[in-house]
Amino acid sequence: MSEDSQNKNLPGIDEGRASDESIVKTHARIRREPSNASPVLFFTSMALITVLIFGWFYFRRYMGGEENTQIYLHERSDIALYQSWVDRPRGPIVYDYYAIGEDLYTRQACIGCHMPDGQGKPGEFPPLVGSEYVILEDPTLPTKILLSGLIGPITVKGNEYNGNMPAYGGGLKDHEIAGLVTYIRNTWGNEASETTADDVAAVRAKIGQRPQWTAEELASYLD
Amino acid sequence: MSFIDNVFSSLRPELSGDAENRARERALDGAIRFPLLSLIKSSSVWLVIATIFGLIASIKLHSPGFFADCPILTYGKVEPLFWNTLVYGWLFNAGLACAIFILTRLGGRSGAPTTFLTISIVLWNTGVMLGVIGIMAGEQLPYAWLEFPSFVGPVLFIAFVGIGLSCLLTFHARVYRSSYVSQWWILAALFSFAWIYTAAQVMLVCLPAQGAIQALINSWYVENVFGLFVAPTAFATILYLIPKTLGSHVIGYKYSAYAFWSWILFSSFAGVSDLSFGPIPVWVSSLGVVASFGLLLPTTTLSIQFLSSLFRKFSVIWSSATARFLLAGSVIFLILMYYKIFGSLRGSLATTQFSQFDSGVDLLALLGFAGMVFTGGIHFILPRLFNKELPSSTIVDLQFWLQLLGVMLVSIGLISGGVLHGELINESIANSIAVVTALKSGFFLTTLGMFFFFLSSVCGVVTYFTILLSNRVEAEQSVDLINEAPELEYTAP
Repeated sequence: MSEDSQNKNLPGIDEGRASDESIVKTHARIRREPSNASPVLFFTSMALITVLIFGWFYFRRYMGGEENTQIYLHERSDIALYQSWVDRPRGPIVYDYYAIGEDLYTRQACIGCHMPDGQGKPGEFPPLVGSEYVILEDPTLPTKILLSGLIGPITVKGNEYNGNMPAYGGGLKDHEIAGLVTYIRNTWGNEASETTADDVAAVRAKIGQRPQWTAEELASYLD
Repeated sequence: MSFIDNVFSSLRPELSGDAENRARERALDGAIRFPLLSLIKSSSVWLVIATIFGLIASIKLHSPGFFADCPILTYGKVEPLFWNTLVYGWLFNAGLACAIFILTRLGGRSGAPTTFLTISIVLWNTGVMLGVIGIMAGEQLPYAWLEFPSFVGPVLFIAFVGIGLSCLLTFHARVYRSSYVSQWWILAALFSFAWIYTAAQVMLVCLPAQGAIQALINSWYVENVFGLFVAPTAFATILYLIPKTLGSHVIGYKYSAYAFWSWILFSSFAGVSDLSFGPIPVWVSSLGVVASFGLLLPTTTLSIQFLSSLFRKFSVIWSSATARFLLAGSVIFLILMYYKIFGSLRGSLATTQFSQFDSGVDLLALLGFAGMVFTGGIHFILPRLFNKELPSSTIVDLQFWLQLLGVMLVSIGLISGGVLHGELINESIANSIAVVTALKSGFFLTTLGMFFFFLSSVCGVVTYFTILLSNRVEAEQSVDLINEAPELEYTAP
């Protein structure tokens, strides 16, 4: 390549201005020096603070309650719903007990033994339709059975049954128990009063942790 | 026959002059000459191939009839061919060339088994070539940056392990026992890529994960190829070449460890923020967003280190091709991280998620940041390997400006075009024909940028082959051609 075609500003070989050994040794020495104020440290600290503040607020915003972490935001309409849920006016919660109960009756184990029509299974699981244990004036008895379960022989509508109903008090919340009680007392022709989460909470507090009921223990409620 | 003589003289220079002059450096460069040359040759050639594919793909975006009758050049094949040759063909070869050079020089002894290393490099490039043929034959896999057919995975993995082992042996054989930050970055990159490639291959190809997890792993992998391999290698190259070409220590070197560990920590999570609003739990993408934002920390430290060191010796930048590439790469790094950090927020993603924005940012990262830095590194390495001058500094100059112009046009076209794209498809009555028409100017800009980039890659190939084939002039027969590097100046504050 002739001299005149060369760009005078750029040499053909970039000069090495520091030997490799001195690069390693000098920088190792810099690391050993005591720390002192430097713009790099200042701006790095500022960046660290910014990152921490941002992370704190972002996690609180998007990873706050347990219900938030379960949300799958697929669609823009879902996101809009989520936003409006976040911005909803806060006030006392109003439950639709019947709807809660209807949903749970089919999703939980209820439907397996008491059947979709509430008729139960002869000899094993008593019916809910017209059962004297269910359509009492006072909803306390079905609430108690749901909370703590029922075991052993029982007579319903003149027929003998011998089954084992586990306790649901540990797994279901007060409003869910109230929903189930309300549902079974008002379906398949049953007509009885509603119950509320507060009533269930009162019953739960009264009976506490206890083993499954037997029919003898509950006999006093019937008339 | 003189070409062949010249090649032999390039590969086995017999130099006259003072044998003591740069004896150690010449011995080191001689030990790694052949593997480095094969890496640099492959990277230059793959870059030309990649930019041709990129050019075809970007033309197809505004003129769909281009090569429409050619079954091996459909958009669905050319687009993955472009990205895969760009990443595995160009950036891996160029990055590994810089990495091996830096490890050897900073260690002061070459421990790499040359034949084994060269075989690994040939195997790597054979794997990439098989992958390209496989994609053309229609055997591609549906995962971004992992489109190579499944049989290529083990080939690339074995080749990478071979290259990585040679690097580790070189590091192990070092005589200067203190380590420099470039060595940390390179070792981190080698171990990380072996891990992420294995994880992605196993969970996407061998035992495919189900459903949305695939998308999660894929976006994790794509982000980590940049964050845990390409970027660390580029950082290593910048941090080695700053003291080397400027003759002054790296400003704020003491805080390198903060940048190193926070980058490794945050960038390994950052990719999943792409999937916000997707069918994955909210906390996963929230973690990704916070991790992306956390990259602000290493970005601050690193860009102050790069830019303040470069600006302190600003005059050198005009008289050194390498330093010029480093400055461009450092500035682009800052712009790139701005887009990466603020582009990962849910507010930005609501607009940019399904647009061209992401490709624009990725191209800025690969072509702009890493590409600039590796090209600078190669311009530093080549004369030392051959003991020859760069054949024409006009071509180097041209390559720099074309590459910079290409990167600017491509990223403006895709990033600002991508924002427009996102806004248009978000409108409830989005008309796809109207969207494509509105984006045409952005796509034309991208094509123009890819064309400039293609020209710059041709400059790179011309430089490589001219320096390999040119006749050794008298000055180049002497070891005095390259001056011995002085000690690094440093006075404790």
